[in-house]
Amino acid sequence: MTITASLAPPPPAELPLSRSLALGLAGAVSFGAAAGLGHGAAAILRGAWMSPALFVGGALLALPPLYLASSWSGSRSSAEELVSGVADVLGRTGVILLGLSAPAAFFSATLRTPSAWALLLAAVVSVGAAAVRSVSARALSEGLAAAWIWSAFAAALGVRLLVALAHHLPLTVTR
Amino acid sequence: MNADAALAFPAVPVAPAVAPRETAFAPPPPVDLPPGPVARLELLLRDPDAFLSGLDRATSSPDGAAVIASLTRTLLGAVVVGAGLFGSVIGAHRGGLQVLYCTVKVPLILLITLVVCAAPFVAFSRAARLPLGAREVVALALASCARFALVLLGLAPFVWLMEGWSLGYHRVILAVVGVCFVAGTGAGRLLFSGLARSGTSGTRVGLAFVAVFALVGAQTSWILRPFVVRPRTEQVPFVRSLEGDFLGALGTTTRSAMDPRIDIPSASRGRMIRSAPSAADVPCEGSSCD
Amino acid sequence: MRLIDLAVAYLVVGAGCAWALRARRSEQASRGLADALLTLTLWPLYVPVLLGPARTDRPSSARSASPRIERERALLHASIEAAQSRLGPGALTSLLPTGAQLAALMAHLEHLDAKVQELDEVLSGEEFDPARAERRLRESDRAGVGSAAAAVEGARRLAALRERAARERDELLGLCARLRMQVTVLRFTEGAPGENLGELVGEILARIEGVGEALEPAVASAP
Repeated sequence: MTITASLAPPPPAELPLSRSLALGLAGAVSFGAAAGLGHGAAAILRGAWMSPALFVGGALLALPPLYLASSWSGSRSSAEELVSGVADVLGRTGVILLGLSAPAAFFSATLRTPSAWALLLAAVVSVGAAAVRSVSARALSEGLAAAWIWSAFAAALGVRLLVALAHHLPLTVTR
Repeated sequence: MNADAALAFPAVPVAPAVAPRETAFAPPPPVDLPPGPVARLELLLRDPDAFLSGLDRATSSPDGAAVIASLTRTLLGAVVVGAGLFGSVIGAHRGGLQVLYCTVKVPLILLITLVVCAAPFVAFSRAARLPLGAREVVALALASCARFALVLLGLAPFVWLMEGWSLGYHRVILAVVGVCFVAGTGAGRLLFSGLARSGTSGTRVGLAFVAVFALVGAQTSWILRPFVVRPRTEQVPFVRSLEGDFLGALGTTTRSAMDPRIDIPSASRGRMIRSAPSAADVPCEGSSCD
Repeated sequence: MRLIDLAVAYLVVGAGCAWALRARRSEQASRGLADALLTLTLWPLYVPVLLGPARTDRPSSARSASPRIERERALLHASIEAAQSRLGPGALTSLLPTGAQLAALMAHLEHLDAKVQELDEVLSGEEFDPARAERRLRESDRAGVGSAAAAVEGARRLAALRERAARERDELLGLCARLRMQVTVLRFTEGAPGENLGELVGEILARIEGVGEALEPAVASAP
């Protein structure tokens, strides 16, 4: 006896939209501030606005193409469901960033070599890639091509945002 | 009252006979955690599945908080004692004060890393919607570290033997790395088993946690260096100055291993190698260490 | 902020947690001192252990489960607990389903039941009433036949889905009843393992696997 996929248990309950967004924002701010902790107040403030600009801003920018890709892939998800799904992933990303704030503060205070930037970049890229994958799997499960295309676009968008934000960074180590 | 007779069994088709699935689907024995600290640590080492089952039952019981708190103290003690004794064996390569220093520093590596990684571990579990509370996550991480420390303790005589045979500084380092690898395998087995019981996302959470733990642990060990010190070193600081990083040192060591000309000591090539007796071994005092 | 500043901030927070903990809990002096010391030095580890929320349950369905499912849940739990207490730790107890497996089984039953209830509500409405949709199809003109046909098809599909969900729910309930029966038999099985016990064990495993195979939970992807 098998239970068909349509009758499988529902995924875990999602948080309300406002709470998901608040978590996403809070987590991004916390992570950014913690990453700048070892480099002075200016770096803390810089991190506190750059991190949400990257994660929350990236989510907002990638939303319209996501809706188009979802429509073209034959998905029946409404715009509201898509927004809710993206907000949920953003909320969970915020939780992860909140948790990573402790290691970010630790490395910020103890790692004073160029490796620090590489590590920060690797962390940001990893979390971002996981979020893109999660959104793609949830919203574009019915179209592999659409999923790949949107994921590539989202990745390119992330890189563009990183490059734009990097212009505001003093890429030297404060001793 | 025979409760089973209260409900009339509906007529259902007999399900086709299915060959019992092996190993992976066999339910773990539902055991309780033994009361004493030694018995608990023995269960942790001998039968990690039973330990996880006991942990599972303890967290579901009405007095779960008290049981887990008691278990936490036991596990912390295991980390301190196990890692501390292993540290003393490492420090014995040079002897003297280095024994005391390493007895203190090796447990500190584990504890500091755990403290920094507790929040991300809980966050990963929450984000993956695993049915694990913060208490269970911390207990699992602590149990894995305790298993690591106990295996280190068990293999400490091997390192002492390598030191006693005077096989050289690098071979002692390799022995230490090998022992840590074996201990890490045992700890990872417990961690991933515990997370796999909680859902299909458990393995991914475990991988993320191991990645963060490895990075933080590497940086912590770099901060608290030196550990294995050459016997001829005259003065050894408790910690060296905070410069460089683990990844950079790893790169230098790799290049040194690939090119014998870049070896220790090699003053003619102008490269400062940290483990050589040099100005870097001058004890750092006060704020210069930071 | 340097490492020493971070360490000082860490200890300050630890001191605050230790003080708050001590004010909140009244314990014997030695245990309180140990907890305070551990909280001061290892508060990210120790505070969740002392105060953190315990295991989270699976989210319950928005609708309450039917009495039949609640009764089956209670009977199943009672029979398994009775078997565990009678058999004690040992090889036979290891054959019993674990709490996690029972929770997954019950959650899936609730989900199926909620699906049936929801579909009943939808099918009882005007829009998807099968009889009304077919009458509308017969009476509709050329312009409206398309939407009427779609409504009929939709109603038929929903009705088929409802029947399938109800059938699978009932089959699962039947499996639960058989599981209880087997657990009860196992409870009173004593003596050396023999052929009958082997058959019993095989049948219980087959029943558990039959339920377990059906319960592959589709967990949402995690980041």
